[in-house]
Amino acid sequence: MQHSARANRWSVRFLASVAALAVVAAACGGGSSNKSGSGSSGSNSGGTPVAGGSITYGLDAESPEGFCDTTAQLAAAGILENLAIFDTLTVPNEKGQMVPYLAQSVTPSPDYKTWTIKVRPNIKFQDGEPLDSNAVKANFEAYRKGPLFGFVFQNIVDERIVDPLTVAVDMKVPWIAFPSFLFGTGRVGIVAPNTLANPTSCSNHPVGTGPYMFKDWVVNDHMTVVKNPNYWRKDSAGRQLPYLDQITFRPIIDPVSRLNALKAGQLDLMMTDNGDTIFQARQAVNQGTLADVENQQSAEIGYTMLRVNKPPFDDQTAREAAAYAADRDELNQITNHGLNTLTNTPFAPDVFGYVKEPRQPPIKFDLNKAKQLVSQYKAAHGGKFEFTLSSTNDPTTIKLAQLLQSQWQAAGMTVHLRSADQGTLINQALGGDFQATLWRNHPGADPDTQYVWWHSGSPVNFGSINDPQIDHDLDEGRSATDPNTRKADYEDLQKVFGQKLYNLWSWYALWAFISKPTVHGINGPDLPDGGGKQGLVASVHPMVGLWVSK
Amino acid sequence: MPEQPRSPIPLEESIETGSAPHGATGLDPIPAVAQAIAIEAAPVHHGKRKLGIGAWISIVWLAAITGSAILAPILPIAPVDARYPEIVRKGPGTAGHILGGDSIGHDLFSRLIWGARNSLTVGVCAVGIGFLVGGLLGLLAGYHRGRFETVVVAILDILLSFPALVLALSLSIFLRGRVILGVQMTGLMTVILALGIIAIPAIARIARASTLTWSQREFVLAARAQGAKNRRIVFREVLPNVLPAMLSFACLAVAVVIVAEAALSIIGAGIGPDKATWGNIINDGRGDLTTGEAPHIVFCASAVIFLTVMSLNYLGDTIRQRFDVRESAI
Amino acid sequence: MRMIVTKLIQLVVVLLVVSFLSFMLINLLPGDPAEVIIPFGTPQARAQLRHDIGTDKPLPQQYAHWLNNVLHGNLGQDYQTHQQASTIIKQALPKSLQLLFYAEVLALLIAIPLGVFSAYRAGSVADRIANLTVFGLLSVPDFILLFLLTYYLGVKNRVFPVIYPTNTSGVSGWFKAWFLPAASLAAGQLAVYMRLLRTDMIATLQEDYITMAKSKGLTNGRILWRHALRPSSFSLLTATGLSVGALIGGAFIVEVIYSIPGMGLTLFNAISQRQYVLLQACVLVIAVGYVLINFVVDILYSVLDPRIRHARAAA
Repeated sequence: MQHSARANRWSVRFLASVAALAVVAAACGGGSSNKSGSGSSGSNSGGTPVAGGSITYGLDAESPEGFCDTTAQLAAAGILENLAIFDTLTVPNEKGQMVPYLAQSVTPSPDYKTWTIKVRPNIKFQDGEPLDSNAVKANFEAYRKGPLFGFVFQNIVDERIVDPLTVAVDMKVPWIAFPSFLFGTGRVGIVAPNTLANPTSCSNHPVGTGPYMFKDWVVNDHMTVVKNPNYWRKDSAGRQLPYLDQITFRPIIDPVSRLNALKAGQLDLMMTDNGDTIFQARQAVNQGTLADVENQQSAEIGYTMLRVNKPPFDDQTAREAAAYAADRDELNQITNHGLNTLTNTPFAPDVFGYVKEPRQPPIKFDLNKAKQLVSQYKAAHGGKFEFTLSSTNDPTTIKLAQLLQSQWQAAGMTVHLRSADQGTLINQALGGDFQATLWRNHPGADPDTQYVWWHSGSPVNFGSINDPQIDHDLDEGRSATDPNTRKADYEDLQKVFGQKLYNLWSWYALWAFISKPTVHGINGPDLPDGGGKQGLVASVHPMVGLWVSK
Repeated sequence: MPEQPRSPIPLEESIETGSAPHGATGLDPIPAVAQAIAIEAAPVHHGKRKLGIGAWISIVWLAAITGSAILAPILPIAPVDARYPEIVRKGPGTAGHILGGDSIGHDLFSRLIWGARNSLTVGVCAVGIGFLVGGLLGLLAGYHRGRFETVVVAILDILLSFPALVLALSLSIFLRGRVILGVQMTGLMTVILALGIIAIPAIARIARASTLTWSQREFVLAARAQGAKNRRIVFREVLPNVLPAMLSFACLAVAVVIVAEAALSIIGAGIGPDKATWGNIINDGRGDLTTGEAPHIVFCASAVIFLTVMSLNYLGDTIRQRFDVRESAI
Repeated sequence: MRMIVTKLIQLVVVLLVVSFLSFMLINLLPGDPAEVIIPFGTPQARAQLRHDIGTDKPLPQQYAHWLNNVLHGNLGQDYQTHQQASTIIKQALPKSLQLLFYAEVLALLIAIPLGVFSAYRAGSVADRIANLTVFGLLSVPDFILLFLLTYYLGVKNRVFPVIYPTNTSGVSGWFKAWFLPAASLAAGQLAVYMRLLRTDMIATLQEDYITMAKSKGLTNGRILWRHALRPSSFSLLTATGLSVGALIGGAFIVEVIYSIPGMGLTLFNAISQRQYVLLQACVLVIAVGYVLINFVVDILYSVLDPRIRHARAAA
């Protein structure tokens, strides 16, 4: 790929990643704690991969909508399952740059208004169809038609077939970070065109070009994929990929049960973002009984999302009061054993344009200041400072909500709690039916992927942020061909957030993939064109490299 | 020797004996409520047996837990939402905090007492609804018979044909947040109403069965012959005799409802995640049980539920036995 | 016979009402069902849904349409998974049935000998200890038992699996796989059964024919097992039947914690993921199953227990 846009994925994880169990958070300010690094630790190397064997992978949720990438709302678990079946056109490398994957090249026109995608030759879908420009075009059409991706790909005018392997995509405005959107946090897999027409079979019998083929799915029980013997990739030593014969995914909602099952040997590998679980797992890792790979690269941010066009948080004083009253160190300590890294900005350090402290001086927990701001607000608003904090109903998030409630009440606010399942919470957010809500979103390394979440008028700008400066930064950042302009835009964006406190950022979500010591290859094999391995993005890791040592 | 059937017993002893375990199963608890209990009508014989030590222990425990629940606001215990960062996950015996802290630093002892307040409120109110509505329906159906009885029995049968916990879960989902009779349903009201509704048919069944037998007794027939008004007969003659059976069942039902409330809390359908309830305390402490960091949270809350349920069961049993001629040693 | 016919008619009426209530579940949702069921669906998907459940038609017509489908085995399509609700239930139901079968057998295996013994030795120290123990069991909620059993027998000592294993090998594997959840459920059940049996047994042992058997010199064992047990087990039979009915879907806490993909977990997920068509189907299946089991138990009971026959005759 000629263009060297910084990595990222774009984010219509809409109901997807957002829906990946929203977390919470609180205010700005405060230094960060702890250094649970990004990238990998533990068992990932483990010598020479061997072929054969199978594993059982414990996930944190069922994918109730099935596995059709173009239409299904997928949470983190579903994205992982789909990465076994589908490949994306691009993937991030370890530096976070987007590199071609199913595509051989992804090339922009000089004005970035047309992108030319050429796919690798001789790749077949698992049902025998060839991967060609027709297939790519059909996929674009399907993604643009669907309710999830329609507005993310709104900038696309048309896609034209250039030759049997090449498609040209025309944009309304120049789109620098387009390759990031082709990865879409592992979400934009290329689906076999034959299955696109029938949503039922696409959901229940997904067919892609990926390393594994769908075998069976028993809802709430398991989903099994088996080795794709004709997979197009070999590892750098020439061995056929993938290594494993079979992966069985099991949704185990309860995090305590999931880790128990891994410890008891019923699972080989599991995912989690639960602080208690990661904490326990690390103890086992230190004893050598388990291994883990943790990731904070291109992390999602846990935060308190505010509805900024309704009282009380339409008032800057109220937002500042809430920020100063939240003791994030304590929240982190109690709910995550202090494992998460606090942040004062919505971008992870690897994101293009990252600014560590966009507000000077940074907001630090200061109860007296908070109390003062609360009385100031109350004086101006008839003596009341009252609101409801929404959250999902999983125990960890509820704990967080309770803690925040008690911290805010200590500063004189009246805080009610409301919890609901994730789907309901997202519905409420869409309908503007919230005042403050514990949320998690914004993974990925290119800030442009956050466009839809913050731009005024976007249907998923849940908090109704309407800030001309933010709109300007987002618009210019999307199209400016000069990297320095883009950088300045996104730095400015973070500063606006820092000043206005539209959201109260808490910390980077920490994902852990915990396994038996015999499971390796969570970071995947080397990329097909060399240049190291695929980079992990939030909860997304490649499935193609997993193997078990005997 | 041919096996002989037991000799036929009088009508009043036979009704409804079929449908029923004696108490809360503690498992899938509500169905136990839904299953009418075997209560055989028998003449009330007062004070023949003294209360055993078990009954006294039960009464004392229940009195203590009820008393502290009622008096929670004025007891010298930590306020319900007060947190003490220094006792997070600390075990019993921490200075000033008898049972230590929970996973976010609430005083566990205080939390359990405030939890008693919520759990007992749910238990008593839900069973109260069941008692009032179900008791009245059963009493009237059993006394008046006829078409009214047919209709009531049909409704009860239908209500009973949904597994109770499934019904409770569905109701709690559909009632939550709705406005009913001009009242916005809070979590507490939702759970009380949901569990109350499923308690109605079981209680009504027992009331009816018991009423059926009593309204055939001589003194009732005599009162009728003397031209006493129906209402007078129902409430002055029948009700006092039906009451022990219902009271015994009510004890068991409260136990069942307390467990059900905890169960709903554990799957996130309880009175509210931030409320102190025994179920929430257990749920919060589960992770710390597995790590071994703070197993006391689950243990303490479990013990409190256990003792309360056991006391209620025991008391219910005692009441039943005192009005029951059937059970006696060979 | 007349009684059975009457009961059959009642059964049909109850089934109709139960099915109507299940049907109404979706109509009771606030707002447009199509919006509630597929909040992010395309207009086409919503139109399809409206057509499927026929919200444009009057209620009785909708119900008739739905009932007709149900009677043909079509419980509707779940709009999220795109799977037939009947397919999902066909996969889930056997899991729940295995669990409760295991739990019931376990409970009865312990409860019957214990009940017979403590009735025989009623009032003795052993009887009291047995009574006290089951009384304790009766008061331990199943989920607490499961937490503790899982921790001590699954995590600390790896004797049993800690979640439901998808694949089990052999008979012993099956017994091991289901043991923890089954034991958690069985504990409370066995307490109920034991107490029920003990009470009935004590009454039976007071009957004249038992005294007669004793005077004839039959051994205690023979009297207890051959002559006293059967006439004493009617309440037990009823209670077992009812709790089997109640546990289909009613054991959802155990299913959720142990990750058993049975009716309980399906129901729970259907509620939390707003899969209303599936929820409706689950409620229907569970309720109908429950009604049918109750019916069978009722009939069996009246056929088996002479007391009921006599009582009916007297009435």
